[in-house]
Amino acid sequence: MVVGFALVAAWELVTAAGVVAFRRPIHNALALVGNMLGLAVLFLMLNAQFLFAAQVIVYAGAVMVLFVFIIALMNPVSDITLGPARGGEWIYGIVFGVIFAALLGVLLVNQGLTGRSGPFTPEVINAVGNVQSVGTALYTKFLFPVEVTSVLLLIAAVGAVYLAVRRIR
Amino acid sequence: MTLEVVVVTLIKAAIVIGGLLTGFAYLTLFERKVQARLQQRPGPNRVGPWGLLQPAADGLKLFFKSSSTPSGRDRFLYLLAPLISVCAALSSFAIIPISGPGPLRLFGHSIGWYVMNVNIGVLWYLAVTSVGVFGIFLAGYASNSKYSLLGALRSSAQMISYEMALGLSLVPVFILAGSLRLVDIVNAQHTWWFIIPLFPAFFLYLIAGIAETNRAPFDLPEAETELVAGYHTEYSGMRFALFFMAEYINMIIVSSIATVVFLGGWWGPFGILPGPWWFLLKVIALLYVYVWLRATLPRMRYDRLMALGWKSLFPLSLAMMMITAVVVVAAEGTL
Repeated sequence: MVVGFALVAAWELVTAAGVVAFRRPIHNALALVGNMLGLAVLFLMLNAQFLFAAQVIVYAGAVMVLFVFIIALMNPVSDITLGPARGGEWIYGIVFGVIFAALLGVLLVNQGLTGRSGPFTPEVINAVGNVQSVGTALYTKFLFPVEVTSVLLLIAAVGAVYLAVRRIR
Repeated sequence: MTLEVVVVTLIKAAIVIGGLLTGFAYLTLFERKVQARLQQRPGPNRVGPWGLLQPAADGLKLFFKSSSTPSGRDRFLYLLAPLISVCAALSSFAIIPISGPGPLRLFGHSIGWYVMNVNIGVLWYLAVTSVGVFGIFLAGYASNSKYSLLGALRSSAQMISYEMALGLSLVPVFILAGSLRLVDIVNAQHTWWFIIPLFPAFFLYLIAGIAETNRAPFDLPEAETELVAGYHTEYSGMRFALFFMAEYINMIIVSSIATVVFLGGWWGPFGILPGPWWFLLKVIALLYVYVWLRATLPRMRYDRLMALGWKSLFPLSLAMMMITAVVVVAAEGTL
């Protein structure tokens, strides 16, 4: 288990670096796909099979396909010249990097920092079924947030349609 | 996760991959033979008795062909694309139970008739196919060719659109069976196959499945008359064979899922024939439908295809899902 986690963590770091380091946009997008697949494997190792499937179907399979789709259509290879980075980018990078490193450091020092375990232990979930327990939680206890989120997505979809239709006229 | 589990799973995976590759080889022969008969021709009949060695001859030919590559390609992605397609196709068979109901007793071990029996079940298949889209898309992108790119754009638009209808048309089955595990779904069909109460869902699944595998009459991504060969125009030799393989294996998998989910899997009437044979017979019947459609129907126009997916199949499968849910709740008397 520890070896597996170390392998996936290394994969995550490499692909995350790839997202910013590759020169061609399509390679950046694909590194992000690899990163999301690695995240899905992490969910799997945490016994969250449904989240694994949702992560792969929604992010790697749908969202990122559209990213790659648009990159291939625009083919921005010639438009973007990375060139020497301007000073501002470095400053932002350093500031946020230090903040993030400090956060990680706090976590590393306090290794006993784990959340309280809730009612959904692995045994309970395996008895009910993974999909069933996620579904029950989403549509009973968290029904209101789920519905609010769906309305939010609906607004985004309507807005996208409006923009597209106005363009055609 | 003991060593025994790992070894048994690896052996089962090897058997399944071997079976799928053989199935792919003979599916090409089956397609050519059936199509020939439908068009009043004899079909391949020179290599071996009834042309039975034709797949081997084709395989050898493809193997020894030199692979030409386009200039200006994306070297890494050009090689990666066919691998993604084949891996996605092969790994989605892992969840399909071939027989049952109980496990097989062999050398004192109880062995299930599947590679893995995960509790997300069919979601595994949907997840793997959604990654498989990348294979086709990257092939078109990395080839540095107009035809390939157009084919790839068409195929990814088509696969994403029909994936919605495909997934939703399976939801009524989950509602009736109360589980996503394929073994549970087949066991729930012991008395009635789900095709009987859910015929509209089966029909929607079949259409969406044919579109998802890019087969005629929905084979727009490789429409010869407009796009040369679509996304695999620039691939030749073994690399082309990998795409070919992925397409045929995907046909086998869509048929297997339909068998397991709608046609009662290994259950057959009157208890004649053991389970695996029933499974095989049903899969072959569905594959025959694939070939039959290809020999019968002309290719659709692209805008019609997208309209069919979004304006007909998608709302119909949503409606089917809601009706099933209401009927099930009403039958349980809690409404």
